Amino acid sequence: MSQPAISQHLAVLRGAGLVVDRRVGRNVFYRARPEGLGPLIDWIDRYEGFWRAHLRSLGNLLAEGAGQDGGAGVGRGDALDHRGL
Amino acid sequence: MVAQESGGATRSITVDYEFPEPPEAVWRALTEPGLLARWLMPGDIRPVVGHRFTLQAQPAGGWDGVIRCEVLAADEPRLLRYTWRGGAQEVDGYGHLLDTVVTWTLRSREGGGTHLRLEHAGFRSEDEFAWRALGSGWRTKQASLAEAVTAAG
Repeated sequence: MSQPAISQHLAVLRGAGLVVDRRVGRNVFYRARPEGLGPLIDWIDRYEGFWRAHLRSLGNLLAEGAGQDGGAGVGRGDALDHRGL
Repeated sequence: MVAQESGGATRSITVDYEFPEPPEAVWRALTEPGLLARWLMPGDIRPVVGHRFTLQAQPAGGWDGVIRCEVLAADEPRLLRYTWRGGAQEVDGYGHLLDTVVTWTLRSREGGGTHLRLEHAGFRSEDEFAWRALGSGWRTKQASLAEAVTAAG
């Protein structure tokens, strides 16, 4: 890979906040910035929250008797929320 | 046109959940449209490999809320796997363009309950970097980068 191509790559990474640069004379030193990964983790976290919320709904639905033979929401009288997570 | 197809890192979500109900009841809630609509989303799911269906989520930004699915594996009442595709590039976070796979694994627990594991795999890191950090300028930047890399051989 050519030097200009490497520079372009680094410019994109810098724009994304994943590296920081430091100029010393004619040289530019780049350092990784792992905290730049934060936004991705936020995104994954939000989707995980989506699933956890819907799984709680699934638990409530099952507790009402849905999914049982002949049961389509008829309460069993024991719909205590004793599920973990 | 985007030269980021190969080898991009992906991430996945795993959520474990336990129910006092047996796997057969959980399976029905996962695979019968009338039940699925009551805890997740409306859609014409059938646990048959190759079956294509949609789920209707809340629209967000430029996305109509349609999630396109195709059943990849179905082993009643143990395993269900389908694609989860939808979203729009310009939507940030939930609703962003996804090409992912959802896998449900059900195991009997002692005493009759069910251990349910959800794995949602295939989140591409570059998508999030793109829209968070570079906004709408990303496409042109990435195209330029692709050209530069191609020119550099």
